Amino acid sequence: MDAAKTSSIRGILLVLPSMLWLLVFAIIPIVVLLCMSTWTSTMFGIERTWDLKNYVTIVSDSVYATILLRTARIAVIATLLSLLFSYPLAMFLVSMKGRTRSLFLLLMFLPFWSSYVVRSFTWLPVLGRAGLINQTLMSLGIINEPIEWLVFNEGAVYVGLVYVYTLFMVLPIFLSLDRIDPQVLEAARDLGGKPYQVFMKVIWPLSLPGVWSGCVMVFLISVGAYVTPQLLGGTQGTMIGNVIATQFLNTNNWPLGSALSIVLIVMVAVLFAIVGRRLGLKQLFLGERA
Amino acid sequence: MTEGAWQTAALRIYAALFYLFLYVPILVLIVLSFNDSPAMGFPFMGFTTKWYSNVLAGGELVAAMTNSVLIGVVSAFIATALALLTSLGLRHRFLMKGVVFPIILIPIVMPGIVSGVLLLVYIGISGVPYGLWTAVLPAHITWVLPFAFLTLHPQISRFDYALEEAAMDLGAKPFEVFTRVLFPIIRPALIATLLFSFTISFDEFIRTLFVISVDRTVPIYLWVLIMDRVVPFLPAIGVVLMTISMLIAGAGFVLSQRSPSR
Amino acid sequence: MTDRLKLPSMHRRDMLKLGAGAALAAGFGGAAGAQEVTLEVMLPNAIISGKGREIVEKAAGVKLSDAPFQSTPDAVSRLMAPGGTSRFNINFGIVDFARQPVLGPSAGSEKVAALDLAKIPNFSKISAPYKGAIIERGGKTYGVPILLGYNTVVYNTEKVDVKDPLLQSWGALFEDKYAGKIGWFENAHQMIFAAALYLGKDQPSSMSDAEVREVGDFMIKKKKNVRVIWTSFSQAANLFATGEMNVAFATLPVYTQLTAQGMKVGRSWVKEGVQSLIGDVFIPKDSSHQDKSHAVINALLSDEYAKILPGISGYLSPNGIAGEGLSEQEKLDAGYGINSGVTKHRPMPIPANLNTWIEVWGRIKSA
Repeated sequence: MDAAKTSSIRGILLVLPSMLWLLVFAIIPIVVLLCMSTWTSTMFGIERTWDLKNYVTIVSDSVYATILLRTARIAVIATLLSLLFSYPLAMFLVSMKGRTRSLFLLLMFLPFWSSYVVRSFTWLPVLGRAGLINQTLMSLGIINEPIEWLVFNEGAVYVGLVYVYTLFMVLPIFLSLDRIDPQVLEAARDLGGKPYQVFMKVIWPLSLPGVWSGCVMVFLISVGAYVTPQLLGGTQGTMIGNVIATQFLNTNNWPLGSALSIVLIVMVAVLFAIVGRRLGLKQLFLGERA
Repeated sequence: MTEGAWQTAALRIYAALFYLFLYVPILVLIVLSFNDSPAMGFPFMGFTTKWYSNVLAGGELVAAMTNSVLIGVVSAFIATALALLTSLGLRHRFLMKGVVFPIILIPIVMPGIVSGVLLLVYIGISGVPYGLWTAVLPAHITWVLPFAFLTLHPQISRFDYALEEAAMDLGAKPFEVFTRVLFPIIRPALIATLLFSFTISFDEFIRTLFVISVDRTVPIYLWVLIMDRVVPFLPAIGVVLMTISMLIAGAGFVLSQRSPSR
Repeated sequence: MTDRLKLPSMHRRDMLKLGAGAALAAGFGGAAGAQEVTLEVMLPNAIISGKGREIVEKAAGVKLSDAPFQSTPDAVSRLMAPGGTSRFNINFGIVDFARQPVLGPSAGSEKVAALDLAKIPNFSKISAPYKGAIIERGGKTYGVPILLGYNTVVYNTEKVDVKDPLLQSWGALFEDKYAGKIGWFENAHQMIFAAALYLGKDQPSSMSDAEVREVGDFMIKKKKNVRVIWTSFSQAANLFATGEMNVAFATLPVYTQLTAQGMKVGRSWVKEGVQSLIGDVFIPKDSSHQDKSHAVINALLSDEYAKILPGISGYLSPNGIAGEGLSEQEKLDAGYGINSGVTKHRPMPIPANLNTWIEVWGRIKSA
């Protein structure tokens, strides 16, 4: 057997375990989801009607389109904000060495070990009417009445999402930055590159795989988020995750929930296809060995 | 100051602000855990340690923590292993290679509730009992896998194959190449991935909610509490969780510093 | 070479955790393992907490293990899902929402077992107002009521004028008076029902699609007065105590919990009628230990349990004995006025066009 074929077989064998696992736990569930989306919810449970009624509902009612667009918008902005805030921190971590670096890394992980449920309740005591910020500002005499708009609006949702997902963005960027050979950086500087140029031409491009990992993770989770927007968004925080959750938990309409989920998955897939092609995502990510 | 020094100073100030942002809610949590008030918030109505005695007395939190830790460790290892294999495999060329990436992302794209419900349906049909290890573990592994992959893959795909080629030229077999060339270099990334995977599993609750029966993981235990009960001792629980994690991590840290570095 | 990431060796730390974990698990495992039967139940947690749990476990001779109860529709859907007829030993549902799914469209399609009333002697103690909530078909009984709850307007007595007549009406949740301090509840049916009552609809569950949308438009107009839409108890308590909401739609257990924790809240007997709900229990038809499940149901209807149920959850028991021995005023305060008809209340049958309600609620939330 020639080398190419051996390599091909080896490749398939290596990806087989995870693909088999996902066949059972991801692909078949999607097929089930598709089937459920064509059924109808009735008083007595789910009837297998095999029609597209749910999709018609989704397409014809402008509510869903509004929420889907809003969700996409919030997710994109949350991802960009997260990137903006996380990148400098990843740079900082890389500039640290040895035990200090480990310490700061651990300090970053630590808040995430307090459990999501707990964390989601800590924003109100900070941003709320009787919260820390308001109380501090009032005791300093800067304001007389508590500021109402720190929470229960879209802005608060961004704060919540970015906070909860910092780890997801910092880590992959940090790992990518860490791999950059300092000799390359030195060479760039020796060749007369100013810091800004070194960054744009050397550091940033080399960190892109990590950046994309982080963005993909944060975007995907934000798109499906429903606890954070529900807790912090007040009456403005409805995202598609909430609507889907309601179908499964409150209104017992699994078929509609399934149809909404399929629509969401399709929307995300389309976004990825468009953005990915424009930015050469696939090459970047699946870069085969040269 | 030199340009480099400005840069370092700016980064440090930024980091300070960032950690402040990260820890303000945590500090608030600590303060509130001593708040003698039935609400989980300000105004501060007096200092008390009763929430801690409340939390530490019941064995439920400890049981939940044990479950969460065990599931977290096992799913982290399995998911990381699967992710590693996949990543290595993607360095080769083969038919239909393009579908691997989208498939790996499916668990993240599917909203948590949907995954939970589908797993519930699965298990119901198959007759497998709803247990911690039969239902919750697969759910966690599936959820963690894409994150492990996304974290690990960029580190492996950019790996300089020349090193491996050199090793093979020197007569090393593929397995040896892996253990002696590739593995030591990606080891930091592997460790980070394991830690990250553990953290994700530890926090996951929505998928677990549908397939768990009477066991509790930490998030489920807390979620059930807050859903239909007033829980003034929630901040105390959060602090206890973080303290225990910190102690374990700290112990591991100290122990690893004692070992001779490679 | 750049300094490599010196995180603590994963192996060592995990050994530590595994070791500790195993030791703890062994410790716990040893303690359990009685010969007692353990029943897995899907019931609102409040009703089998504390003393309630003790009473039921003792009377029925079992150990109770509770699954995470999220909401009634969720509990019912677990029953309907594949495998649902054997997963839990006892399931729960608000009678109006559970009756049809549980019975199925025709005889023979029931998801739950026909109850052997000989094993539930306390069945005879169910008082008259609750008889309508017994789920039966063809002479057999399938579901038995075990509690009555109600939803109403709850307010922070320290922040509002308790004599304000608006508080005695559902309008408190909509009108501008408490703008910025109002809390709604995340439930399409109940919220729209409340608004419909305020707008004067006498039978909200029979509203036509157009009427439902009309109510929805009203709610969208008033949405600007709402501070938050809450889902969990703790959240509601938190929001009251921190002054984010002073007036809110609340379910009975929330009110009971808040007062039990010492918070100064009051609840109204709103003049348009509080929303009353009766909860039933069922035995999934393929579950194990059904005789024990019967014993538990019997315990839930017992005199002893009926007397403490209001204390642990606020709910009233169909067993009329709990109301005895209380003064007229005490009875009214506890909610027994609903039973006797003195307090105005509205049962909530499922509307035939529930999907419209849900769609309208979705629109309200995304407006």
